[in-house]
Amino acid sequence: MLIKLSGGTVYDPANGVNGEVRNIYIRDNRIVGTPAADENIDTEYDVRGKVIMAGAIDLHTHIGGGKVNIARTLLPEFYRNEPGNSRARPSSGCSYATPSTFLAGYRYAEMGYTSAFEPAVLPINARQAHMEMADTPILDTGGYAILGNDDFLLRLLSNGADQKLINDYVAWTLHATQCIGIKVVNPGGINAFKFNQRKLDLDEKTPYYKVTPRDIISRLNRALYELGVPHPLHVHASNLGIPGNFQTTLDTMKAADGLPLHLTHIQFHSYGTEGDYKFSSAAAEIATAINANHNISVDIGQIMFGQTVTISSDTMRQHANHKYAHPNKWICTDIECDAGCGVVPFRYRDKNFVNAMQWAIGLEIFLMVDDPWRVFLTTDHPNGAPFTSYPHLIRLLMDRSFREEKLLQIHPEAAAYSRLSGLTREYSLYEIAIMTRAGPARILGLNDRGHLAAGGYADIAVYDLDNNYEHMFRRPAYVFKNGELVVRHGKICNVVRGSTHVVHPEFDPGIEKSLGNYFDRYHSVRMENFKISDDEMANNIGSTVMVTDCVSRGVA
Amino acid sequence: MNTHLTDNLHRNITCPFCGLCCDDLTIRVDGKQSLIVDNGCALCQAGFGEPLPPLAAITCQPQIRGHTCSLDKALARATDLLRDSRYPLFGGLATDVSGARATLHLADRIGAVLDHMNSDAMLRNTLVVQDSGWMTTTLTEVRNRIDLLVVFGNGITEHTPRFYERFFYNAESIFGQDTQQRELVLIGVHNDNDVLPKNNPVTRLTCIPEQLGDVAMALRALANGQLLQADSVAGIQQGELRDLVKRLRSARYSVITWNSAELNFPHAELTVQAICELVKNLNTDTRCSALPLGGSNGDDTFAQVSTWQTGFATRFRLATGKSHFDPVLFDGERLLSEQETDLLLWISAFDIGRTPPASSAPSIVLGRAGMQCDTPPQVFIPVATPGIDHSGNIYRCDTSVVLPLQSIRDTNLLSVSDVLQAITDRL
Repeated sequence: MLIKLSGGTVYDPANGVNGEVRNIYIRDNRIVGTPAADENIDTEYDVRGKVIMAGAIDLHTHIGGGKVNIARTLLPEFYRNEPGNSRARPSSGCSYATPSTFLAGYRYAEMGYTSAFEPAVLPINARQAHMEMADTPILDTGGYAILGNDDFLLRLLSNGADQKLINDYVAWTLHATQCIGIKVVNPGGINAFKFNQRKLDLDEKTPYYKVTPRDIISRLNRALYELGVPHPLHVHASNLGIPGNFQTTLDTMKAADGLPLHLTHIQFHSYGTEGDYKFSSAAAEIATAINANHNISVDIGQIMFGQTVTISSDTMRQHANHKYAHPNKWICTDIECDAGCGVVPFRYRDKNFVNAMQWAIGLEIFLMVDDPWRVFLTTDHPNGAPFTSYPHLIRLLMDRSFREEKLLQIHPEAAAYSRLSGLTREYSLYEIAIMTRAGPARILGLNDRGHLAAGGYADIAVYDLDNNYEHMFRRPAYVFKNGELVVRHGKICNVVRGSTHVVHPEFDPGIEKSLGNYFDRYHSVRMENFKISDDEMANNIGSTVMVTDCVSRGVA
Repeated sequence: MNTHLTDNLHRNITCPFCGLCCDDLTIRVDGKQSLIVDNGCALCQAGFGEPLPPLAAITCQPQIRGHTCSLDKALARATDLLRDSRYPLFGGLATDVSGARATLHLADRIGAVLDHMNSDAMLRNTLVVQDSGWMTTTLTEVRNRIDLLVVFGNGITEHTPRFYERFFYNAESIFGQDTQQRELVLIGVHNDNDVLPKNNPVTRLTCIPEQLGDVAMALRALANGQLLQADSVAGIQQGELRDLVKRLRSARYSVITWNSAELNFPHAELTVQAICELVKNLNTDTRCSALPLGGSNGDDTFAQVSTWQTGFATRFRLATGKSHFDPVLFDGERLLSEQETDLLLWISAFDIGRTPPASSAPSIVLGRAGMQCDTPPQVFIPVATPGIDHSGNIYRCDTSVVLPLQSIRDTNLLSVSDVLQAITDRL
């Protein structure tokens, strides 16, 4: 099947293409070069005047796993109050903050997204994460396995294990959980909470194991570097949400020891203590550090005003914040000597000083970071806002007058304290394409996605150019997934299945001796049943595995 | 390659017959029976050991109104019944993840009510989660951290036989605890059938099940520093309650558990809520977690799959482009007795004794091969048992853990998923 997209304006930053008019050819599931003159084009789409980008990639969104399901269980009213979608099959499953897996897939595709990654896969719960993602139509998916609060690792570190052993454990975990990256959440903190500790700073020793969050980050990150895993350690830093935490964030960047490190939902980690409310923006300090340290990448975790739910493994912080739950109900769970989870519904209000500042802080960071290859567009769905708010967020970044309009609506003191009105920058389409396509693909090692050159998979989004960028990005003209048309004029027209992206770095199988011993003596499941095979992924779980290559790097 | 099979013994096999989903079984298959070699409790032995009648036996054959027929005819008849029904009810729902997915797919296609056979017990917990949430823990944490266990009820070893053995007086814990020092407090009525740990210190507080909620509320009040006027609550002296609160407060990782299936009285969710609010309050100063135990017949499995696909776990209807949840309206037994449903599809792949309820509406039964219904249904299709006849996945009762099921017996039985898919394809 040969498809031609004629005359569109192409933005393909991975290949330096910035708004050039070109034809794109798709053969079956790949993009190909210009075919021979005598070849028959099966379908031609006239996309003159339209913008073409690769399908978007969300590298941090809570779409699959026990935590998400806990949130769905907690909040049945989200399903009652929101409109049905009779076009979707199954027809049920509403809610913006906690959509059913089917609705999540449709809504992402309807915005031009073709891949999404669950950033917090508890290893013991990996099967569930993958089953939910398998039931998420159209999108390619993948996960980051959580380490850094599991008793096995903390014991290793506490006993002075050498780096090779840590590397083997990390690699084994990636295989066993079929993940593409490793996440650390409040390193040591979730574990500390199980010992009744309520706060943990970067250089503070954890109870019982006496290791520091800095150690945990440094050792895990080094492991990923030496294993050649493309994605650096994905860090949810210590002290999330606490005023003054920007210093922890700056110190956490240093824990990278110069190696690549990714700090997630950095907005929640960029708070100062200035002013009457003892809560201020430290976006400038954070942006300056990001600009100066080229090994650091971040995703923002922008908040939007309205009702949502916070879903996080960071039980220490979620429990502390339960008093802000709106509606007033919440869940906290310690899980399997792996990690934990906390679900706290939340309403961000524009007239609340702190919430208004949080909104401004996220935008400030976006606008002050120079390099769009190292900053990614997320709302930490649903923690900051549902992912359906992305088109609105894009408009805020691209349209200064729209931003100014919104500034007038927030708590006036927050507007006054914030630097936002002084920031005149407007993101270009090219920069948006970097931040939502080329950049995420690169940092995940997805060499065949996020770009439009021949050889890449045909994940493509076509938008009608519109001065109202929110309209533009909310309603693509066409979306292709692996070369098949799935969305037309902003609506699903065909449903396909995506795959699960994983890495399989090499490791010494000898690690299974000490792991097997640990499982036998302490765990509630057998090691053999903990691991997920490729076969299981394809059959009982329902998503085939696509392996992303590791890169050769050697010892750090 | 089946890494679970060596020397004709199937190892590390998962048992789906109660909510603990123990996965350390070693099983030998002898003809049509699975014999547990290591580690099987009575429920496990009964579930795996249920002999499969010969294939020609009527209970292993598709039937229309009690007469054997070809599979094709049975599927055709079932499809016709489903297509023509105006208000179908899918009940039982005892299956694994694939079965749950296929059930929901079909229910969505034709617009059905879904009510799991264990809904009453499930809802005693679910309603609490929906109303106020809770703080819980999971079994590996319990095994390694617990120092005080409080049980509301008295049927732990009846419903989850290996709980104490695997998670309370387990041989070793990560932190080197002497697990036989762990304290056990039982609140409820004495039960001869409940097998307690031999060596751990046990305290009993006696009260009837209907008053467990009162006890939880009194404990909560005392834990919050409030004064109780009454000398006793539910027949338990205030002094004993104060003593328990003191122990809960000084414990480092206490766990409070119950099995909602035992709380068989009206508004039992309020009892569960009282327990959960006590747990939350105790976390102001120390660590305490709730642990809802129990489960059977794939209830947690169906609940999880259903929740991620539709937003709801049970007692809901898929129709008119939305999922609609109502624990009263969509009570299957009520729909049947009030004759509001015109067709029952009953799915029961684990427990051969869980046959459909009496119904004046016609029924289609997908029952574990060998199942004998009291009244022959319109259509009966024998199905394979997940974890014996086919592989799959099943949820443990602490819901964060889903275990793989293996295929250990070679039969030609169709799975629930196969049958429902075949019906859906014919619609």
